Amino acid sequence: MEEQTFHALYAATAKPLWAYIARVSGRPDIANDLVQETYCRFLTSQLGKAELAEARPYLFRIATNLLRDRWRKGEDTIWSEPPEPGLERDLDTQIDVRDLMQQLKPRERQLLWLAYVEGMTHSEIAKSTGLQSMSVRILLLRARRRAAELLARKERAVHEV
Amino acid sequence: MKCEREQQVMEATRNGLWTSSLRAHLRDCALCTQTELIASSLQEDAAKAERLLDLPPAGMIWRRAQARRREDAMQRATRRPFLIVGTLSALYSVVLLSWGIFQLPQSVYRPFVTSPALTGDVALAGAALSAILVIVGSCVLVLETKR
Repeated sequence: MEEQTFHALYAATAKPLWAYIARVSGRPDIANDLVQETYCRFLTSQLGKAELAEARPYLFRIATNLLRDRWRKGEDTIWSEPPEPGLERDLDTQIDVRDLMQQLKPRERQLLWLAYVEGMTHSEIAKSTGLQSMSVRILLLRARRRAAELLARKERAVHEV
Repeated sequence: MKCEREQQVMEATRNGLWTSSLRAHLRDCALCTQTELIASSLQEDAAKAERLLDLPPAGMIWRRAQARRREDAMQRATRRPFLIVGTLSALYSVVLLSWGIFQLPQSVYRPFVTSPALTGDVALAGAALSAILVIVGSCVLVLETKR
């Protein structure tokens, strides 16, 4: 890969990748390091033309594996996201997304983020997570149902107040 | 439970292009309302997070990756000769010791074996121990080089 091509790819994918890592892990403090590591692994791996054409899911796959390694080692067992300036509770919707994500399982967070924020298809999510397409469909359905329940519960609580 | 227009709702949430029919559908479809609520919440959060970001420059990551690539290539290049030498020495040790045990004339080892302090059994045990140590040492060298 040429340096200029990489610069363009980085400009297009780095921010979404950072947001994915930060929100799924709940650790914005480690997201910068993991983003760097993801791109380093991407650049040092021997990629074929097909993989380069599908760089985006491949990058998310590497990031997903790095997150999984952290969970396996027990480095991210606690959701310890510090408050970020400018990301306070949304007054329009009264929904704190970080609260919602905190209550979901890591796999559910991954699937919801890739589907609803990244707009990935089931097959792209399958490539990014290493799951089967059919499993993605079922797990995503469950994750959405759970997220909707949590959101509805929150909305009810807000209305009651 | 699945709605055929869910993908369109997700797209519209992302690009903000809502057609009147899609809006009307959203009012009637509980599933798509759910999808819109989740998608818009997550996307809003992502957009805010991205605005506050201060990512490292691409050039820095590129240089870091190039340095790592060179380091990997160097490690691969230095590892190979060690691996070859280790494997060959292990093979050589096994062949040599096997040959020695079966081919060595009695006259060579008899003076050692007949020494007053050394019995034949002790000499044999010593030779076997040496052989084991040489083989184990070669294997360790091979494994270390592989790692």
